[in-house]
Amino acid sequence: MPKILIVDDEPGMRLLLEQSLEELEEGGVELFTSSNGDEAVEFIRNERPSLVLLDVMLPGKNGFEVCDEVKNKLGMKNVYVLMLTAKGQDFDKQRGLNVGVDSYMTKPFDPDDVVKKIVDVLRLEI
Amino acid sequence: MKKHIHIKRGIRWKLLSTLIGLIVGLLIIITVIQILVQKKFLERDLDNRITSIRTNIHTRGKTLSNYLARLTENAIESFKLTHITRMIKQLVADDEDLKYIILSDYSSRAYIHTLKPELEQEILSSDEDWFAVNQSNAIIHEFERDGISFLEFVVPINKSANPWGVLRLGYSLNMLNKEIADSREEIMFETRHIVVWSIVISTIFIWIAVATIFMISTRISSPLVNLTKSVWKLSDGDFSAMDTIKIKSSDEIGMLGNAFIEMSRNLRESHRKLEKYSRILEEKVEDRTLRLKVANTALKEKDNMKTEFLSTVSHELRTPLALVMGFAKIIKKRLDDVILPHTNINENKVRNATQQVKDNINIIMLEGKRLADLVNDLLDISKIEAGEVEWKMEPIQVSDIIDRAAIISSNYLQEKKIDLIKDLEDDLPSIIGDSDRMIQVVINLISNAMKFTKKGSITLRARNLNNEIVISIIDTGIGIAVQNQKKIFEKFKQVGDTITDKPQGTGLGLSICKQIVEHHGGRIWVESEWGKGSTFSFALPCNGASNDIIEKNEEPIVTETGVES
Repeated sequence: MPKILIVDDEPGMRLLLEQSLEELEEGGVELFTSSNGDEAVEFIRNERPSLVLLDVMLPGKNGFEVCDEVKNKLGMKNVYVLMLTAKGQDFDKQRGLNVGVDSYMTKPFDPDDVVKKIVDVLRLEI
Repeated sequence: MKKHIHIKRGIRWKLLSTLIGLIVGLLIIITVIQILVQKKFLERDLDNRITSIRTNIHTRGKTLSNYLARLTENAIESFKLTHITRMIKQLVADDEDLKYIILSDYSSRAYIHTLKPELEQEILSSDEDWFAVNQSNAIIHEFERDGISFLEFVVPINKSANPWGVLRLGYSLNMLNKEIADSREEIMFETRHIVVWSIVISTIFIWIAVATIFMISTRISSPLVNLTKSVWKLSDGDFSAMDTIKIKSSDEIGMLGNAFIEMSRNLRESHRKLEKYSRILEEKVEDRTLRLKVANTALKEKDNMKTEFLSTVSHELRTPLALVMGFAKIIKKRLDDVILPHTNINENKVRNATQQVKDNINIIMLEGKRLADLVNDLLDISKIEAGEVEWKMEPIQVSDIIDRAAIISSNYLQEKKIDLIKDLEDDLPSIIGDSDRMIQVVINLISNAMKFTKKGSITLRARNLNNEIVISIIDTGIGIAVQNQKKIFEKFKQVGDTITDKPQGTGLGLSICKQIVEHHGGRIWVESEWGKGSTFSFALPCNGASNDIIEKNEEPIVTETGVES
């Protein structure tokens, strides 16, 4: 049962992503949400989700710090980190590469693209 | 700075050399003339003396020879030669000049002769003897023997009115020659004398000239040298020089000195004024610089604030925008997938409302997309203008750019059923540029062309013209009126009837293209005729020719952003 964690401090964004991924739930994916970095790290350590949708600006630890903690300090390389970033922040990419981010999506994004990407990464069958 | 006065060929040297030359020349001429005159005079004197000596000898010789001839003829007549012989010998012994007397008959037999041992027998016969025999008067001739010149008187002797022989008297001319030699020596001596005197006089005159010229030139040049020193001091900015000048004379040099003092005074005045002005100017410049610095700092702060503001705004806009667009999409999806299949569209009111909701959702999505594009473009242009864009300049192939732009634009083109034609020249040289930005330019121009092209085609053309790559995007759309062709590259200047045509796009696309192309050292323009389509072109320098231009164009961008300098 693959688990997906959505980390964003904006309730609207969490809702949008949840609704976008609703159809995946029917395929057996479990969705979880979190609104701050520290909580997210805790969740990942305990629940070991397959994929994390991670916002950059977060209360507590920011997106990069969360990724660094998970991938490098906890050594959980298997967790796929998909970062949601705003366009125009070129420095993010380099920083993301340094901490081990797997891929990006730029806001504003098409919900269908997010679904497609996740299906691809987790090799799900719908 | 101390200057050393060294004058090559000064006034003194010139005066001295000229005057000495003149004196020497004059004295040489005078000496030569004097020598010539003296010589002529002496020579004439000598000639006179020679003539008088000669005349003297002739007279003496003639008288004596005639006298002796008569005595001899008488003696021969009377056959008493003894007396005449003794007399002749006595004569020869007494007269130093008279060297010999010979009496001989025609058979060349000498009857009387006083020949000294050194005189030879030959004298006894000669042509003159035979010639003289036929003469009634004595003949006189000169000859030279053993270095001695002789003047010989030959007198015919008759016996009983018949020629018998000759009497010959030989006078030595050595005395005369000696006289001539003495005179020549005297002339030489005189000449030498004159030359020596000339030299002595020349030397004296030269020394006098040197002394005089030295004095005169010192009087002329020393004030000049002093004046020159003062001028140099003045040129070094030492105005005290004019106070040390004392004018003693009222001649030309005195005038020069006065003029110099006057000039120095004026210069000092000008210098003072100039210093004052420059001080005022410096103060003004300093003041202005300070004010400029303050203004600049404020400007820089404002600029930073603007960029930061734009960046923040665009970032903050993204989240709500993402939500609006995302939810619109989900609504549309739910509508299509879930709600509509369960709606009774047979009822008019419901059908109309459903159609309206669908249309409205589409509008929300389209406008959301436009808003997102606008935010992106705004952020782009503000970053380019602020010089915050990192340009990855590298050699790139024009064909790559066009291919990639065509691929990215292809979906949309297919949707609108517009053909895309590629027309690339073979072997196009590479250019130096940021490939992502170049692709952005081509995409922007394609999408711009699409906006105004309802049907037909868009051609992507690339040519190498005079070391410039010219890329053109040619459409078959409505075209642009001439008066609008310049405006369209400005920000938010969209062309078209805003009432009938809904403006599309952000109004920033062409402006961004212009900024990018100009950053690459290129230019962008449009050629169009209303109703006949448009050709948007941009030209970029070829690789190699481009380096300088890019560097040159980098500069103004640096100064625009690097305000701290």
